[in-house]
Amino acid sequence: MQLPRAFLHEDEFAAAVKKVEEKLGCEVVHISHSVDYDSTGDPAVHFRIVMPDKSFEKDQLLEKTRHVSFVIARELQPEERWGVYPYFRFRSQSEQEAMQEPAWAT
Amino acid sequence: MAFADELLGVAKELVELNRVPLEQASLRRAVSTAYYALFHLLAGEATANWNRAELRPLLGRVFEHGKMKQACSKVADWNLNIPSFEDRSTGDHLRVVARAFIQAQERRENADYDVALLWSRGDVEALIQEIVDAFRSWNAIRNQPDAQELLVMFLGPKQRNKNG
Repeated sequence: MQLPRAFLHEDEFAAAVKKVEEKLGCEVVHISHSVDYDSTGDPAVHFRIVMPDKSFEKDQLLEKTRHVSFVIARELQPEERWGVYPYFRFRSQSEQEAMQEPAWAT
Repeated sequence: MAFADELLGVAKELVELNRVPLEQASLRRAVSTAYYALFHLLAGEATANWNRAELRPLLGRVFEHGKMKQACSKVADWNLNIPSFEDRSTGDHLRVVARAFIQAQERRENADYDVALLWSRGDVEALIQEIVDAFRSWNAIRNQPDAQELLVMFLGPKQRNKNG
């Protein structure tokens, strides 16, 4: 079984994620990720995206999360270039400050 | 009100409970219920094509989460942006449904079984908005040939893992 490129070159993948984070600028506060397998056993990347509180206003939330997901997918091409399927979770800055979860901060 | 709509309503009520902070149990139930709302919407649409109405619930038991995910992954195409609702093609609507299904299924698995993961209200609200939009998109194309084909693909053989 051939391992996906994202598993074999984790540092390179992390650098690519960092680059997308920089490209998104103030639209995101931070992007964390982990490469592993999803619940059906397929190789996956799980993104944990902290965004500014104003993105979580009800009338903006879907547009903002969808845009950020699209830019990450378009720039990284997780499936095509790295062999992993993308999953996205979102959290507001104030939620992360209250929860202080390391997995969303590093 | 259809069962899928009821489930979606329950998920929304859970995440909108006026408690700060909202318990992890409520957030996890909201995630799981929202996923099952979409699951039952699609399974219900597929079984509605079966002439014998009394057998539809039994037929609904045939649908498998993994196969449905595999079918959705064939149309999800993350390289394409999703336009606003009014400007969507049938393919765009299908992508909305497929992406929401795949994302929700993974989160449902996490919400139900991974007790180490923490959930925030914003995270769950984002998922529920995706599913609400998927309901709207599905209703816009439910009789289109591509939408009906997706329902048939749900019954297809599970594709082999690309790396396995």
